[in-house]
Amino acid sequence: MIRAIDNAMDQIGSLNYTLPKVMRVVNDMNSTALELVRIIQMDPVLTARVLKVSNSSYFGVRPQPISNLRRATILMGMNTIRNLALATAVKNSFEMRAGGAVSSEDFWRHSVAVAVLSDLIAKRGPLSRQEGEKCFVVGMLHLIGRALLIQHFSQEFGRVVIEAKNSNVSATQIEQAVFGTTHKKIGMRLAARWKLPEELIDGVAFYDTPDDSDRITTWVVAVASAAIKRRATMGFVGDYKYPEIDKSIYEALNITESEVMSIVDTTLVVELDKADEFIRGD
Amino acid sequence: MEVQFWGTRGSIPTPGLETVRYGGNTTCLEIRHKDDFIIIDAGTGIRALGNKLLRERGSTSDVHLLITHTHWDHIQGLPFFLPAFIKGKKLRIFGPHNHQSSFDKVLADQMQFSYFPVNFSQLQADISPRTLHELESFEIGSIKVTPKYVNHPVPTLAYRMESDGKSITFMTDVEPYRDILYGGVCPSEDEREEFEDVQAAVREQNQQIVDFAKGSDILIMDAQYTKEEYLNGRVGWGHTSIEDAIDIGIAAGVTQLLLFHHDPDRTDEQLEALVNLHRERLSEMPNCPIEFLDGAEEGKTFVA
Repeated sequence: MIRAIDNAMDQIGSLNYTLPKVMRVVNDMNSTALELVRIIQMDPVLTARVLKVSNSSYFGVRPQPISNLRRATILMGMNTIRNLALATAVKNSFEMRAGGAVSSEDFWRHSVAVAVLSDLIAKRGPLSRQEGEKCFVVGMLHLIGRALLIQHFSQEFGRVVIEAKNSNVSATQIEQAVFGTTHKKIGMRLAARWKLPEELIDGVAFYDTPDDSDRITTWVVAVASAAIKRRATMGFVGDYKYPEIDKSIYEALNITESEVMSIVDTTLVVELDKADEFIRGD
Repeated sequence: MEVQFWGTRGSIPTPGLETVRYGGNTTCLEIRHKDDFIIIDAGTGIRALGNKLLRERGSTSDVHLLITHTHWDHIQGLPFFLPAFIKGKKLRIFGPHNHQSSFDKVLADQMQFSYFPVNFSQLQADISPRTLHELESFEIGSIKVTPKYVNHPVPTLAYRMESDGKSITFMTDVEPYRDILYGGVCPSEDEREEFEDVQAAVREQNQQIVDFAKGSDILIMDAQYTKEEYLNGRVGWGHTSIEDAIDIGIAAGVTQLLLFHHDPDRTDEQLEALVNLHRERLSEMPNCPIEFLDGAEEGKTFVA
């Protein structure tokens, strides 16, 4: 099983970094069209899709096809390009088999919810803007190990989910029994292999045991992850238990648990509706 | 061919004493030629038009409705358009492609139970929505219709109607294309080539807008703001200034220019003053093709 997981890690190749970047531009009112174009340009799949749409028959009858992103942006406007980029980046990042124990929509929704909530918590607290951005990315990617398990071992992971539902044992512990490893260990190895920043590896490792970490980004994501798991409408990643986060973590972030839940039920719901619109449709 | 205005106001209905002349209903036009007619947009003005159609034409004639785009002020009258409730009546709705959701779904969504008591699927008329492709003309009776995508935050169509050698072009919720990438300033010599390409793209797109309206007997054009208002915080909102609308009308060589999509804050008095100001300016311009300039006025008919 461990060897099969190694193979799957090879298959995933380089991590698609585009999604968090596109999300960042979408959420930042001050971001510019040029920034967006530069991000899309780094991703050939995304570039191809944007050009494909701007050359689609709806905009048809051109003397010459639109051949570059800059022209496509002038023609279709920032909004359309942004929405297309986001929808495409999301689909590419979380393509999962239909009918599995966890759907790609649910997985995506959970990850985005944790990312956006992490960002909202960071903005309120004593963190710098830069740290806030890191929280967003860590929130988005803290479950990459589980994404691999769901994508490549959907049957086995289905067993994990069923057992997690019927027992009092955490899905992570059951992963250890079924796979001989956990999504956290896989995620850490992926992150190290891709030379991702330290705070991401730390977040992957300790998002459900923040007491073991001394990084504020991990604390923020831990609080966000626990909060999102309390709300059934915010996606599903296979867990039926959510960790109790120690009071000291909330104190360090200068926020209370009920304040976090109130952000979830007000601001976050609105933000996620926006994200939902983006992912829908073609 | 003639056009009658049933709604001229931009953004939101503005009933009241200060908007009596140009009108307070949101976008709705009726284009007529001989026995044929086309409705453009289903803003609040469409309610009275629907009632008139039933009165004058009974419940048998087919209705053709062109939608420029699905922002509220262009579709919010649809749930009050009585012909849509008549069993067996054919209602053909044409509109733009949407990247996020299908055209018919967007129309239906505003009639979800939370917003309106009658669901879109419960409408009794035989309704068939169709999305249009750029510059692919089609005929409605004796009128040839050509759609073109224009610059607005959501995919939006302008329409050109032609019949018996006369033409009416309707272009609302459109903003001149501009360099949204560099803001007209080349950031470095390394990017000079890309920068110049973007400037060329902007020029080409704006030229296509002029070409589309070329030689129209009537151009009905978005002119929500004055140039000063536009430049002070309204760039990127998807609308044109009166000054730019006039420049486009001149470049396209149109005979009658009707300013449209009046700002909700614009009073009759202010609009009259603006029209007079620009009429004077045009009268002093040598070889100006525009023979007639006015604000589009609710209830009024203009002949091409």
